[in-house]
Order: sequence, then structure tokens, then C-alpha cells
Amino acid sequence: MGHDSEAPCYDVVVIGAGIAGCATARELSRYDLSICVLEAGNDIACGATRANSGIVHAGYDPLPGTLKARYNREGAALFPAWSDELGFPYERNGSMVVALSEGELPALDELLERGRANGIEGLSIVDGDRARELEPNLSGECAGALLVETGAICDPYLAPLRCLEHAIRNGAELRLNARVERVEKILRSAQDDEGIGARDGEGAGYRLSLESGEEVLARCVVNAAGVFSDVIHNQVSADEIRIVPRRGDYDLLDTDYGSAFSHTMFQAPTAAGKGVLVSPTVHGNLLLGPTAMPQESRTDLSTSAEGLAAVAERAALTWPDLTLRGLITNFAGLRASNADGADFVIGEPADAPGFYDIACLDSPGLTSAPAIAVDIAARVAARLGAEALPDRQLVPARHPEQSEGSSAPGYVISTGGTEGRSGEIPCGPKAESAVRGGISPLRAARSGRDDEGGGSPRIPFAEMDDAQRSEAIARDPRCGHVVCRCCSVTEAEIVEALHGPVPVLSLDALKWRTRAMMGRCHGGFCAPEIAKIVGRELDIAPDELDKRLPGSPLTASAPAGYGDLAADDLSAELAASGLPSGAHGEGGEGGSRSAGPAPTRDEAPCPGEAHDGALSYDVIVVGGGAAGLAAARSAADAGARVALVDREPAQGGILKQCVHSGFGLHRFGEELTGPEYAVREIAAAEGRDSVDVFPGATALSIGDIASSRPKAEGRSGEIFPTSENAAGAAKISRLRASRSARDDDSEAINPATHVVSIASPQGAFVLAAPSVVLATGSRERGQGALNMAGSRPAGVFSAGAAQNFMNLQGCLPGRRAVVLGSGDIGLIMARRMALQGAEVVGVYELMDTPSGLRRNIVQCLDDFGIPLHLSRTVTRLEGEGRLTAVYVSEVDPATRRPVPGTEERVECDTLLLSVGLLPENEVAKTAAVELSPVTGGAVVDERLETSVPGVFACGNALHIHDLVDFASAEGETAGRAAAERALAAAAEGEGPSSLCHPERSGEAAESKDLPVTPGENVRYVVPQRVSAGALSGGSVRFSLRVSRALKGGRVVVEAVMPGGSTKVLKKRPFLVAVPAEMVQLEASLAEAAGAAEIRVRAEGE
Amino acid sequence: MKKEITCICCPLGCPLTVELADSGAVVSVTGQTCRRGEAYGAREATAPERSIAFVVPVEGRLEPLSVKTAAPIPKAVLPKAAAQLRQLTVTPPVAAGDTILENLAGTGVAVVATRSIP
Repeated sequence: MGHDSEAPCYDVVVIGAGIAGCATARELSRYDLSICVLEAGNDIACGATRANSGIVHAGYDPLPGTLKARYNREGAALFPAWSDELGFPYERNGSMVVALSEGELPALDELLERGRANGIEGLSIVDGDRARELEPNLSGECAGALLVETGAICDPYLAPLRCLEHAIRNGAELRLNARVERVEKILRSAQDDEGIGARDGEGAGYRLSLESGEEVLARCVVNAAGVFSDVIHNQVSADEIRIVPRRGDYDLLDTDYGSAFSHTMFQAPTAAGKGVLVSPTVHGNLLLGPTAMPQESRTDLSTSAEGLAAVAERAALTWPDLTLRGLITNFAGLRASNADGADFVIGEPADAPGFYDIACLDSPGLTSAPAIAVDIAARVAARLGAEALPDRQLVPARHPEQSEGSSAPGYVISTGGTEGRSGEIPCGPKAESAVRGGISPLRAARSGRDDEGGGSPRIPFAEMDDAQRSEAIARDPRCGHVVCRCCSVTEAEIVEALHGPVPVLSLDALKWRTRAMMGRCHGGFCAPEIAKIVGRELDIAPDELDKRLPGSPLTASAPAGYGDLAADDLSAELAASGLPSGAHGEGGEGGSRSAGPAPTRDEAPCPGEAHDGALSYDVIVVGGGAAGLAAARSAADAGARVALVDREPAQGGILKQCVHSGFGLHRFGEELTGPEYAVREIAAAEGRDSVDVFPGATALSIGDIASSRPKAEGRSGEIFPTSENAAGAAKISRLRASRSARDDDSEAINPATHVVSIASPQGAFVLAAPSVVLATGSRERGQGALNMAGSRPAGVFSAGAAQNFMNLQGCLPGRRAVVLGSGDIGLIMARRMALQGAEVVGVYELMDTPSGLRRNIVQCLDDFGIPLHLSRTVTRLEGEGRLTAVYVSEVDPATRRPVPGTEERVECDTLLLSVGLLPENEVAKTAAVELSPVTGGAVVDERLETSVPGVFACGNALHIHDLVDFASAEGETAGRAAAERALAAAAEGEGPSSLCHPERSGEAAESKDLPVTPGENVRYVVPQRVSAGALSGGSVRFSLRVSRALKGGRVVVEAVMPGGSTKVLKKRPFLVAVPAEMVQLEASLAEAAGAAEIRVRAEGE
Repeated sequence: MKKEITCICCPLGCPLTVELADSGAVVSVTGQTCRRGEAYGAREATAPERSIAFVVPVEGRLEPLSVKTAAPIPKAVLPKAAAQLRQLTVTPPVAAGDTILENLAGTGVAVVATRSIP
């Protein structure tokens, strides 16, 4: 068998890297054995494990006496310790099984009985009232519930990942993209001394043939092949098993909804089925599902419209207020259910010694896996006579430093166990150095990562307190580069994941490891940035980088030498990040400030160093896009010292990627491109001596000095010391010196002052000011919000992400594109792709009118012969790797729902989504700013001051603008008002009462505010209230959108008197008004004295 | 003959009606709310023009250079102009306003940088 002698040979081969395979590998690695895990997919946990509810079941459900009952009980008991040792999220949140009618109550009794028979503790039955007391969002129909104290949740991806990492650190090997096609017994013949260690009279092990044509030999095999475990089993055993794949569709909601329930809410089983669960996840999302639909295919993970509808319908039985507004994504998983019974198939078939099944592992498979792993590993070790390694020879689970100085951080997969360790093995494991189909370790050194052995930052940045962040950034500046803003994931975490023991072969593998791109923006903002980091670290360009499956490249083309270009680009960004440079921060500041335009500043004692290292300003502007730049400039012109904090190294926000023209007609009287407009605004803001710009600095939260905490729940921590990074610390200390030069007499800062916590590569630090302007912009509505059924192929982009790839990275997103949504960005991108040589098949719009500007329809679509289809939408995606087609349906204009039977297949490799923008207000939320459910932005008065005194909002963060000119104008208003407030406070001296609106005093003034309400044909108006001062002041600018298209009409601003009579304050005629175009007008409120409210309505045909 | 045109001079997008004589000469433009609209209507009905914005690869840099036509070019030339723009590359440094190409697609119109690259 010369052939065999070349094949690598192991004591144990584990087929499948789901939770069962990974947990078993981990347990096996405690023994003196050579181990190889063969995974068919390009990532671990790509089957039932990942598309899983993540529930650690208590164990009341399985029938007593079954394997499920035993392993569930034992597995659930192991979970807390495994979580602790390995470092994956686990939370004992408790669960409840609810009876939704009196008739379902007996089912609860039955479960209670079963649970007791299974030896499960902490079970009790409560009545409906008690259940609702525990879960206020629970349906009023609930008649009672089984309360399960030991129910828990975990991260079903990180659990197997940490298991496998641990196994690899202890010598196990992993091969991805290694599908096992055939398994056969090697029979020992009398003259064959080349056997692989079998005992007399037994098979001599197994030969596994891979899809690639390679062979692998194993003394023992663990069959953990998920939905394929029957196929594997039936090749070696005559006692056949059969699996039926059962698909479960799920909906995942935003973290805003994770607190709807604290328990995992099951529904009592009925004749109709087990119902669906509603559960928080360990990451604070809310999960709904799954359905259970048997299907033929063992690989098709497409969701169906019917399945998704069923999930929503059934989840609403538990949660009547269910809303899918927070939908992030839908997905499906396949459970490997036993077609010939209900139980797991575990252990050695009688006719296949050394072959161990972990098959038919449907629910509670995840929960049971640790117990099964312990059991199977012990049986394998006993068969092979392997001894447990002493603890000192094992690498602890939570320390990532490689054992025995293993080189090439990351990729390898180990040298396996020591050859011949178990004595009788003639063919020890080969020192395979890479993963099949894997990434070459070319760039391992690029990251500058050395085996410092510092331990992996197991606490995600998002969960660190301020002191931990400060320390992390001091250790590694990349910890201060927040890449994913939705989930607060840093460059350091991404780099670490890319070089972890289990290789990352797809963008999704990175997503599951780090949560980057997992949030509500769907990677719209961070995917291009992450592509650069992957390029630098692994020398893989976006046109070679798979999104999920092999053959699912992110983009159609990328510049030659992408990896090097990306590395240089990121270095330049890092160099530009952090603290103000140039004269502003480097001293000589006192002079320039006293020469500033605000003489009042010189008399007013103004705090410099606020508190524990906080740098003090009059106004802090968060966001360096159009609105933020204008706010900073106008605040400076009003005499304020301003800090402009921008998460990007280069200011200008989204204008940087808007290379088309059409900006600035109102503001500059000429048509400019985005970069040209940005340059003018940057020069205006940064040219002011009293503006300090903090580039590449992420504002994490707004708090107040008094509490040293954010105003809203969420983050915690004290005001922490400034950067420990030497260069950063020196700069901060210079800044502090300059900022406090004339403020020596100020000791304490006003307790009402706001503090903004910042992370940047230069350090973590705190800024303090009486006024804060939020100019945080917007994000695009993503794919998740659309709830499209089907698969999850590459090639679906938000229009802005595609624009970023094209205009800032020179990558063509695709070659044949469909655009969904006729928003301006989508129209601009249709033209942009057409000019770049791609084919644009058409633009589909849900509504019966276009949502972009009319001129963009003309110059972006008509000019290029691109058809616009109104009242159509995309309902389904097709494509295993890259997108191959979308399905488009007609939409009923009345209901805005797809018309059944009108589905049409449109071939394309790219879908651009231009389906609306949402104000970005994560920072605002930390300050407990009241947000409008209509605009998604803050509720403000005419000075753009929010519900939190001293916090202002402007630009797209306040409400979505069509024109950047208006966003800039709004920024000016907010900046000026913020400066006035800060300066008035300073002039009046200290004390809480001094920091309020100059024209009103304290809380009492709030009640004098007049509400501004949208009347007939108006969807919203900003501001939503006006202060008493506005009635005597100048005119107030109102921004509004009509709720339907109107012709030849007028906008009317009127005062509504307490008796109901109205007084017209202003009429503004228009030719046409459509919802897609904002209307602005100014009105004097002088005549509104005594009014109960101000109403803005629109008339017209 | 009458032509119905949507004005693209500004976001208002006025609906214009341009009346043409048999000779092709413009008789009248109506529907506009400004003078630019009148001029646009007359031109669009007879010899339509467009500006192009584009990006061009920069040697040794990931981020391309954003560029635009210094003046509008005949609409009919768009495909040829785009094809030529796709072939361009530039070497830094470049200052905003620098001419990248003198004569785009034989129109005599230059292509200029809209940002600076140090």
C-alpha cells in the first residue's frame, strides 16, 4: 500500500467542525493523541451550529431515559465551566414555557413531570399574572408558565470556536475545505505489518478520501458531520441511520429590542407543533424562531417568505407588540433530525469498531455537546490506550501564546502530537503547515504582531470599561481604532481574529468572530475599512475575498497590489489620527485665543483642565461631516473654543466619496463636487484658531461630570486618565497646558458640564464642555430591514458601501447590477457604475413615485438608458456564492405589499440598496436624548437644542436632508446656539442654574415651550417645539416633508389658540411638493403669543 | 414642435417646455423659474451637454483621484469620454484644479482634479 504510506495518519480524525466536532476535539486534546479535524466548509460551525438559537436547554423537554435526556442534563451542567475556561459568552437568563390558553396548561404539567424525571432542578409553574410580572411584554393570553431557572443562552459560534482553538493550541490540526467523500475500513491482513495500531482481530483503522483526492488515515474516527452524518455512518456500518434535514427560519432584531424579554420564552407544545421562541441573545439582540420544515436539500439555507411570515405570526402570540422594525437579518439553519426516531445516535456501531457517531444531533445538540464530547473522548482514549496528559503539558484554554514556540502565528495548525507518542503508531501525524484552500501566511508579520504572549483581549472592546480601554490602547494603538461603529469592534480585535488559530477564509467568518458588520448597518460603513485591514494582514484583495462560501468574492475587481496599497493607506490614516496637530495643540495658544473674536471670553473664568484629565472646551462637536464642520466654524465665530471630534482621519464625512457634482448651489452659488465642497468647509472650520480637531477619534458616550457616567444606561466607568501612549500623553499634556493657560483660578467644573469619552489610536481621553453638538450623520437602511427571503450571497451592497469601494478604493463592486430604491445615492451609483463600464439592468422602486430628485432621474438614468420600474420590489435573492439573480415582484400601491404571482427573475451579480437613510444617534442615546420616532433624530427646539440642555443636534443626525447645503446651514444654527449657551454660562459664573438657555431659566422654562405639530399633508416638522424666546426673537426656520405629492399648493404655518381658533403666521406657495424633497421656510412667530401650539400644514392637489 | 424637458440645473427640477421651429431653432422656453433654466432648456432641446465626474487610479495609492470635466461636453460624447477616462492614471502629487487631461474625447474640454494628493 505505497499509496497509504504517503497519506497523513492520525490517532483520531474528527469529521465536522460544528459544536460536536469542536467540543470532541477539545476533549481529545487532553489525551496523548494525534488529532485532525476535517471540515467540509470554509469555516467552522457552518451548519446547524451557527444557525442555532443558542439556547442552553435546562433539560425538561427530552423523554426520560433517552440519550437526549442524559446528555442534555450533563451538558447543561458543564456549560458554565466551559464558558469560564474557554471564554465564550454564556448567560443563565432562565427560560419560560408559556401556555397561551387554559387548554395548554396540562402540557406544562407534563413538562414539569418530565423535567423532574430527568433530574432537572429549579422548575416551577407560575400563573399568568406572575409570568407577566416577570415579563411585562408577555401576551395577556398567557394562562400560566413553566419557569425554568437553569435555562441559559450562549454564543453558538464562539463556543465551538473557543473549543477548537483550545484543541489546536494543544496540538490538534484543522483542515477547512476538506470534505470527506468516502470512509472505508482498513482491514488488517496477516502479513500486513503496516497496520496502524489496531488490536488483533479488529479493523486496522479507517481510510478517508477527501473531495480533493487526498487520503487521510485514522485509527479512530469521530463522525460529527451534521446533516451528512448518516451518509458517513452508512459507509462503514450495515446498521444504517437516516437523517431528515429540518429547516428553521429565524428573525434577528436589533439590540434596541433585546430587552423586550429577559427570559427565553418558549411556547407550550401543542398538536400543531412546538411553537417558536422569543429570546434575548448574549449580545443583546432579540431572536425569533425557528420554524421546522423538512426539506430534501442538505445544503440549501435559503429562507422562504412563508417561513418568515410564520415566525413573525407565531412570535406575536408570545409578544403581541412584536415589531419587525428592528429587523437586522433573517437566516435559516438545518437540523439533522433522526428520521427513524427522535433520539441522538451516539457511540460505536457494533460493526465499526473505532468509529464513533455523534449523529442525528438536533435539539438539544448544542447543550449536549460538551457532555457527549467528554464521553466520546474517554471512549476513544480507552480504545487507543491513550493516557490523559498531565495538566502541565496542556496549554490553558484562555492563553493564546503558542506552545513550544510554534511559529507563524495563526495559521498553523500545529505539529500535532509527538510522533509515535502512543508507541505503536508507525505513521505519526505529519507536520502539516497550512490549511487546505487556506490563506498563505505571507502577511503574518505585517501586522507587527509578535508573540508577546500578552494574552488575548478576551473582553471585547465594546464591553470594556473606560480604564480597560485606556490600558488596551496604551498597549496597542489599534485598540483605539473603532472600525465597526454599530458593535464597537476595533482594528486590534479584527487583526487578532485574522491571525487566530482557526484561519479566517471569509468575511463572514470574521463577522462571527468579532461581531464587526453584525450590526444594523450591515457593514455598510465598516466593510470597506475591514477589506483594507484584511488586505494588509493577509494580502487578499476584495475581489479574492469571499463573503461566505467559496466563490463569493466581495467585489468584481480591485487595484493590482491591493494589499500593499491598503497597508500604506492604513498607515497614513493612523498617522493622521488622534489629537490636534499644528499650532492649535502645540502651545502659543493663549495668544491666539485672546485675539479671538469673542471679547467676553477674557473676563469669563473658563475651565481648562476640567477634572481628572478631561480637556475642557466651550463646545464639543461630534462628527466632522458637513454639519459638524459648519457647527464648529460657527461656534468658533461666536467666540467659543471648540473641539471637533471625528471618527475618520480625514474630515468631510460622506462628501469624500461623493465625487459627483451638485453640491453647494445654495451655499456657494456654484455647483461643486463632494470633495470640493468638503475642502472649502474643512478650510473654513480648521482655519479657525479656536477649533481643535481630533481626527480618527471615536466619541463613545456623553456623560456628565457629576456622575462621571453616561446619562443613559449602557456604559459605565469613571473618568479615566488620559492616554498612556507616550506620544499621545505628551500631546494631551501640551494641549492641557495650552487650554488651561489662563484658567488657573478655575478649580472645579460645573457639574452640569457634559463630558464626552473618546477613543483614538493616540489614547482614550475625555473632553468636557457646557455644550455638545451632535453631528453624527446617518446610516443607510440595510438589507436586513427589507426581510428579503432566499440565500445570503455576496454582491448585495448598500449604495453607499458600493460607492466607497468604487470611489475610495478603486474597486468595481460588480458587472451587472440591479438597484433597489430610487433614492439619490442609488441613482448616482447607477450612473457611476454605468460610466465605469458595468451594466445596470434597472432601478426598482417600491413606491409609485421616485424617491430621488427629478434631475437625478434625468441625468443618472435617462441619459444612460437605465429603466426605472415603479411599484416593484425585490423579494428574494438567489445565489450560493455570489448573487446570480434577484426576484422582483409588483407592489400593490395601496398596501405596498408584493402582489403574489408577479415574481420575475432578473439575472445580476450585484444588488445595490438605496432604500433610505436613518439618523445615527448611538452617542445621543448614551446621553438619554429624546428621539423622534418619525424622523429618527432628536426632538429639538428652534435653536436645535435637544431634550438634554446643552446638547444640540444638526444635519442628518437630526433628520435626513436631500441637500448638503441645508445640512451645513443647520450645523451653523446649532454651532451658534451651542456657543451662545456656553458663553452665557461662563459669563454668569458657575452653578447649575447658569447653564441653561440664555432666554429662559431652569426646568420651568421647559413648560413654556410650544409644541410644533405636523398638520394635514405634513409628515414631520423640525423643530418639534419652540421656546418662549422664539416668539419675540427673529424668524424661525422650519424644515418639513409632505406626506404625499402635492401640486400648486402652499405650506401654511399657523398658531393654534387654546380655544381651537387658528391664526395664519406664514403662507409659502409651491408648484410641486413631494415627500422626497424637503421643504424649508422661515416664519416669524411674533403673532403667536398666547398660542397653544404651532401647526404646519400643506395644501394642494 | 414641442419638447418636454426636466431641468437639471438645480434640485428644483422644473418641468420645461421648449418650442422649436421646423428649422430646429428655439422659439420659446417655458416652465422655468430662473434664467439658467431658460438657457438649459434651449440647449437641451438642441445640443444637450453634460458634465462628468469620475475617479482615476493614482500610482502607489489605494484611493483614486476624483476628477471632473472642466466644462460640460456634448451628451452624445459621453460613452467615448467614459471609455477614455477609464484608461487614465495619474502620478502624485496632484493639486485640486490641476489639469489631468487637456482634451477629453476630442471635445476640447479638459479634465481637472477635484482634490489634492500630496
